[in-house]
Amino acid sequence: MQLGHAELQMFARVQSTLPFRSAYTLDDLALALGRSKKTAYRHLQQLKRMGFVIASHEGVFTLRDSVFLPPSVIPRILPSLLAISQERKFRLRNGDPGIERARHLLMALGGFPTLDYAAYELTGYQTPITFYFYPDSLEQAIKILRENGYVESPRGSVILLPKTGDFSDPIQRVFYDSLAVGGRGILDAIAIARKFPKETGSTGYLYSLLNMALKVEQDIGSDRLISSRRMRGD
Amino acid sequence: MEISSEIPSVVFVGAAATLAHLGWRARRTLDLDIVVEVAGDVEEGRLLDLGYLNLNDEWYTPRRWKIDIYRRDVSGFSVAKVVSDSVKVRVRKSTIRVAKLEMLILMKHRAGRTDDVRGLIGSRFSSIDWNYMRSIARNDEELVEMENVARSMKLM
Repeated sequence: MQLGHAELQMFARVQSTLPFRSAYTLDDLALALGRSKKTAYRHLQQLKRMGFVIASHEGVFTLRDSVFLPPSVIPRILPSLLAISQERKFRLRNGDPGIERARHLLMALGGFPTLDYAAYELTGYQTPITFYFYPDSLEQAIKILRENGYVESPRGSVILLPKTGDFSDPIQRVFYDSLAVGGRGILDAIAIARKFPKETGSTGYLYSLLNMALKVEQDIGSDRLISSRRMRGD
Repeated sequence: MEISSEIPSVVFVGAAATLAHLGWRARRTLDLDIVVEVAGDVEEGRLLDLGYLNLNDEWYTPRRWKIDIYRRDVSGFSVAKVVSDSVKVRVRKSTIRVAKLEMLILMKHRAGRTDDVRGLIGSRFSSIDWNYMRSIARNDEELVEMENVARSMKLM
């Protein structure tokens, strides 16, 4: 997926002038874009269609922090965002999350786990709480969940996503999904990039930044070791 | 939970406090943020005697959890304020002290952890004391931003 000129301009304005906040108003967006509230509203609708808006109501909205990722990365996360924006959430009828049972049922049916559980399996970094899954057949997956006592619920922790985009490299897909979802997903993405540099090297400048951060961390680590040795008189 | 008995004046902030306020359902890493008011509780010799490890100026519990210890302030709140306003939470058969919900939300907000802010406001909206939050917020803008998170989710 490619970004058009107008979209690139919008991202440039948003990224350079919109402050990083927990919530925004239409006035904030209009000010950042240097445009009218009406134009800001149009851009908000565009951000919503792309999947960057988490929640919005009466001119107040929250954004995924992935909106601030380098523009070269944005096209790569658009399929993930599109899928995430069409998520279907399920839990057991009795209110339990029912994750383990759903994992068993869905994996047997066929498909691709992503985000929390997949990232945890790759990195062991953050504990998972939500089971995200791209079933080979969304209809079949919904059917089997319903047959086994699951109901759709906004608080569901079993989340089905429609298969959108490229799944040929599983690690890369989990990486881009993690970047797209933002928040703690960004931490997962960094952990994946650290562990699988080859598979995640396609992010251009972001990849360089992560490598530079690693180098600084290693340099500081060895400095510390040297200074503490000196202190001990080694 | 062993930390509470080893470091009596400990108050959990960060992930442990988030877990406590969200009914133990939140993502976390293997590190803990704690505030400690009584200096003697975290005196180096004492921690080493308890089996804590100090590796490159970073502390680890005997169970190998990394801990960041805050002695003066955390996210703009003094340790004394975090401790005095902390709440007790029952965990299995014991009790731990964690940062008050509204303070934790502002800490997360100031740390840029927007997904934790949304999670806490979304799940605990009915428990939030907005007057108390107003009293500890840096300014009106900060409070309005937290209210806007709730508004965006149609909670207000």
